Amino acid sequence: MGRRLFGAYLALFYAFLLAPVVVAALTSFNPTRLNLFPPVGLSLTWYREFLRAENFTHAFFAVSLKIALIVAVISGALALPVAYALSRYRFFGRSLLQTFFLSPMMVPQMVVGIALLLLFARYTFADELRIVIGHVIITLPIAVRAITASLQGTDPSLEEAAKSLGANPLQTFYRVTVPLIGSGLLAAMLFAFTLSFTDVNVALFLTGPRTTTLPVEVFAYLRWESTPIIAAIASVQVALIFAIAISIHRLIGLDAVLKY
Amino acid sequence: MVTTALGTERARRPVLGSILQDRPHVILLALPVFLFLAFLIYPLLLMFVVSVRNYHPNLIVGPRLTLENYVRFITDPFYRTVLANTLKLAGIVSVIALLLSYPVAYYLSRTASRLKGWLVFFLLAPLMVGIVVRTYGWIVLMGRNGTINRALLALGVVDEPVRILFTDAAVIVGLVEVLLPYMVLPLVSALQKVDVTLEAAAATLGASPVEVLRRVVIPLSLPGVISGVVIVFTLSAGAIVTPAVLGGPRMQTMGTLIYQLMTATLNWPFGSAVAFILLAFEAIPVFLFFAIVSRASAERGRA
Repeated sequence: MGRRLFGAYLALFYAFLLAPVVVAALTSFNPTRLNLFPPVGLSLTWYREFLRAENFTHAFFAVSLKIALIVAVISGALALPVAYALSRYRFFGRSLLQTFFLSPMMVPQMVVGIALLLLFARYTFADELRIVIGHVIITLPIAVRAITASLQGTDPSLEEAAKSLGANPLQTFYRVTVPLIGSGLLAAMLFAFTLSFTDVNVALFLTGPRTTTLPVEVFAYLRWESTPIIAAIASVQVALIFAIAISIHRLIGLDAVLKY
Repeated sequence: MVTTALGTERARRPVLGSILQDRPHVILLALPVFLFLAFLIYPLLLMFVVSVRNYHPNLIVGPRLTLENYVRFITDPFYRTVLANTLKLAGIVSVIALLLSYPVAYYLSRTASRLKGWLVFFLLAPLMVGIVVRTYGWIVLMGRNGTINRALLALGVVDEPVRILFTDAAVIVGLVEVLLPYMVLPLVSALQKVDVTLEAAAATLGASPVEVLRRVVIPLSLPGVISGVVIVFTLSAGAIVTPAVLGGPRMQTMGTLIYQLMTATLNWPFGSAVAFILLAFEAIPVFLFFAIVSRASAERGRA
C-alpha cells in the first residue's frame, strides 16, 4: 500500500518536472495562433513561420549555435589541462586551485554577466567574443568536473609505463591520457555546448544588436506576446538537447557531471 | 658554491624543458588561471569599485567615491519592499522544493531498481533544456486559454477562465519546477553517505520508521539539505526570466530590478550595489541553518 502510494508520488513528481518541456514541444503542432495544449490539430505551420522569421533563425544558427560550438571547443581545451593537473599532480595550493576553478558555480550567473558587462565597457571586445568569454567562465567548472570524473576512472600506471618506455610528457599526454579519457572530454564539451546554447542569465548582459542569442531573443519576445512559433523553436531545442543528454548519459553518466 | 654534476646538467637543460619536467602543473594551469583572474576575479573587483562610485548622466560611472548607492537602497521603502518580497519568494520556493524533493532523493539514494538510470536521466535532462523553453511551457499550461483553465472549465469547477499567469503563485510554481533538480542532487549525495546499517540498527532497537527518519536519517543528511536550500534560495532570489515572464511586467524582484538597472536605466553604480546587497542576503539560509544546527546540538547536549 505504502509502496504503491509512493510510486504514485514518484510518477506525479516526474510528471510535474517534465510537463513544461513536453507541453512546450508539442504545442508546436497547433494550426492556430493560440498556445493550446493538447494541440487542436496537426500542422507544421509554426515550423515554417520559424524558418521565415529572420530574427529567430539568425539567433539560432548564426549566433547561438556558432557561439556554443566555439565555447565547447575552448572550454574542453582549457578544462583538459586543469583537470589533468589537479588530479595527477600533488603540489602546494592544489586544493585552493580546485576551489578556484569551481568558483563560478558559487557566483550567481547574473553576477558573472554584470561583472563582465562592466569589464567590456572599459576594454573593448568584439560582440561575439564577449559572450564566448562569459560562457567559457560559466561552463569551465562543469567541464573540469566531467573530465576529472573520467580521469579518476583510469589507471595512472598506464601513463607511467609510457614514460618509462621513453615517451616525453607531451607525448604521454596526447597519445595515452587523451585517448583514455576521450569519453569524459567529449561529455565535457557536449555539456559546455548545452550550457552555452541555453544560457540567458549571462547573455542578457552581453548581447549586442547583431549578437542576440536564441534564449535572449525568445525571452524578449515572451515578455510581450507568445505564439506557437516559440513552441516550434522549443521542440527543435528539446530534440537537440535530449540527444546530447542521452549521449552524455551513455558516455559517463549525467550524475557524474552534475553531482554536488 | 659547490656545483654538483647533477646541478650543472640541470642548468644546461632548456628553461622550458626543465619547468615542464619539474613543475608540469605550472604550464598546464598558467593559461586557465590567467583567464579566470582576467575575466572573473578582476571584473568582480571592478563591479565592487563601480558600486561605490556616483552615477554620472554622461559617463554613467562617475568619479566620486561614495556609499550613496547602498544608502539609497536601504533608505528607500520601495527597494526594501522589493528585497523583502524577493527573499520571501526565495524562502517559499526553497521550502516547497525541499519537501517535494526529499522523498524522491531518499528513494534514489536507496533503490537498486533498473529504472534508476532513467530516473536520474529524466531528473537532469529538463535542467539541460533551459529555463526559457520551460517557462514557455508554463505559459501554455497557465495562460487564459491554457490547459489548466480549459480543464477547470470542462470539469465545471469554474465558469470562466481564472487568472493564473501573472500571479505570485505562477512564479512560485515555475521556479520550483525549474529548480527541483538542484535540490534533489545534493540531497541524494548526502543520503548516499548515510549508512544503511544505522537505520537498521535504530529499527532493531525499537525505533518506528518515523523515528528512524526524524532522529537518524534527517539529521545525518543535513549537509545535503543545507547545500540544496542554499543553491535553490540563491537561484530563485536572483532569477530574472521566470518572474519577468510568469509574473508579468509589474512583477518586481531583485533579479528583474538589477536587470532593468543594468540594461535599461543604465545606472551601473546603483545596479552593482543592488547586486552586492542581493549577494549579501543570499547568505541568509547559511546563517539560519548554522543557527538551527547549533541550537539543536546544544539542546541535545542538555538532554
